[in-house]
Amino acid sequence: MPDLFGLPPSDDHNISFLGVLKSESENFEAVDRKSENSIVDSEIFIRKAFETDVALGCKLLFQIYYKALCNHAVRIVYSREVSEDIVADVFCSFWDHKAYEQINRSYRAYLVTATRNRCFNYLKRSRYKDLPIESAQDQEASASNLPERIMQYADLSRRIETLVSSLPPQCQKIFIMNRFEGKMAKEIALDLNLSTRTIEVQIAKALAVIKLGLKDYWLELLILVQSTFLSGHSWILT
Amino acid sequence: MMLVINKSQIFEHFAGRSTSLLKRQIEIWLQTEANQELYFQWLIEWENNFPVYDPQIEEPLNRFSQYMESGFRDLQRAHLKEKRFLPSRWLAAAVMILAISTSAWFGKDYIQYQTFETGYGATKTVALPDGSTVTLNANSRLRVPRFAFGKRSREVFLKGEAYFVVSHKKDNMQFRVGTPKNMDVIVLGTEFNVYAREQDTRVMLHKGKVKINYPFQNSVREVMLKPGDLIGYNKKAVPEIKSNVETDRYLAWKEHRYIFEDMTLSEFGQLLTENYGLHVEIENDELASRTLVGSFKAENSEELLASVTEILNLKVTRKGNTILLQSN
Repeated sequence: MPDLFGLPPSDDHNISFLGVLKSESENFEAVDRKSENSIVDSEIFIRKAFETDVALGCKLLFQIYYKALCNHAVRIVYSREVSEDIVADVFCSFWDHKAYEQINRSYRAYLVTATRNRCFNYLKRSRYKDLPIESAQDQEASASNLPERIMQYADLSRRIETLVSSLPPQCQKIFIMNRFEGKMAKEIALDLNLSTRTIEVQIAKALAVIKLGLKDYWLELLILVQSTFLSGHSWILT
Repeated sequence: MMLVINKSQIFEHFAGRSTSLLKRQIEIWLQTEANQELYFQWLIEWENNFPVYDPQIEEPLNRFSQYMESGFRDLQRAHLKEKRFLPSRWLAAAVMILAISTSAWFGKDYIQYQTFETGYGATKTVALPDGSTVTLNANSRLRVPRFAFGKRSREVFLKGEAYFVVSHKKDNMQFRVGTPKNMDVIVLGTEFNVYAREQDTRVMLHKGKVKINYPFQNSVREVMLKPGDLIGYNKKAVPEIKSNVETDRYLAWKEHRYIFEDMTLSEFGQLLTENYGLHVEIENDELASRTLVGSFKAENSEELLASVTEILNLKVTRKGNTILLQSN
């Protein structure tokens, strides 16, 4: 990939570049605070990069937002690897569908919304296994930002957080070691000097608590979905 | 009114410390696109300031760069697959999917339909959203759709016995009662009684006009009823209409009255089973074929049993829900 400065892409280079970019965007934000209506412009630097080299623009976005997005996703999916997969998917799809060409707001609004949509879908799919896997484009296209939709994410992540913190200390520790540190039951068993079976039981217990705790939430969601579905189709008695 | 939300309020919200009031205010504040932008900007800032963990970026970034150059999604997918099938994860996912899909399956009916039920010995009157009323006899269930009812169709499902008073709609919208044996009652607005239990399915029309659809030799037939008509299955399982029946006899249950015309004791036992959940044993066939005539008013099974046994001079032995009837 040709670099903007003709330099081979090395880590050092990326980091220093990111450093420049950060201070730049901070400057822009400082400006924003004075004139509160040009927030999108804090990404003007990236916008410029996209004009000359799309791949560079994507790479910059990845560097700036990857960590924040992973942290954001993990609050809902509660697994590091899943959240990292989701964020990587968001960027791949962003590149594949040339989504950067159609962005009329900030890149970050798009990326956060796309990440959130994928998180919701991930949870939904783990609930209803026959749900068709929506094409990536559908997911991004449905990135409509209704205020309720925006609020929904914080609401769900808070519910999950409350549920996880309600677990007994040992169970919580094991669950986090498994989901967050990506450790398998066997490794945790060694670390804590417990049997593998105990670890598996504790993980299953944690999942069950979360599942039960989210039951009402899914009912609410389902009612929304079903009511729109039913008003469009006449139902048949069985 | 211009609502102003500042960064520290939003941060409180992200940290899960927002009150319902603040949440509502944020929701209103988010209606402006500029505020949405501000929200996302602050969100990223907050996630950077208060990370849950520190993700390694080098490897994913290299993979992403490679992906953009080569277009090979496999690079990443391969990595996904190899990780996704770790046994513990796989097991957890399988358990979760199974548990969740079963709960969703059982939940589905609950969400789509509202069910009204009566226990043994109880009756209940239900007012439907379209203005119709349904009086349920004991041990009966009425299922009504929660959402679409009265909008495009009015369809309910009955198991047991009920008296329907159906309101007539201006647009002549049909009201349909489904039963377990597929005998359906289709009406516009009228009053009728439906008996749909294991042993038999009967519909008695009190007022107005109804259409009955019933399955017959792999097809669906229809028949119109006049007031006083009773349709039921005969012994050969063929539907038969009896005209000019005494409608009171079929509606007496609403006033806790029982009208028996040559009802055999075994049929009476069946009634006790259906309405009160009692299991009735009769000493011998001779006794079982004795018949009852008359009108009885009884609020509960004890009163009913007492009147009947007194008339027929029977000895009653009750053991839990089992009742043994013998000649005295």
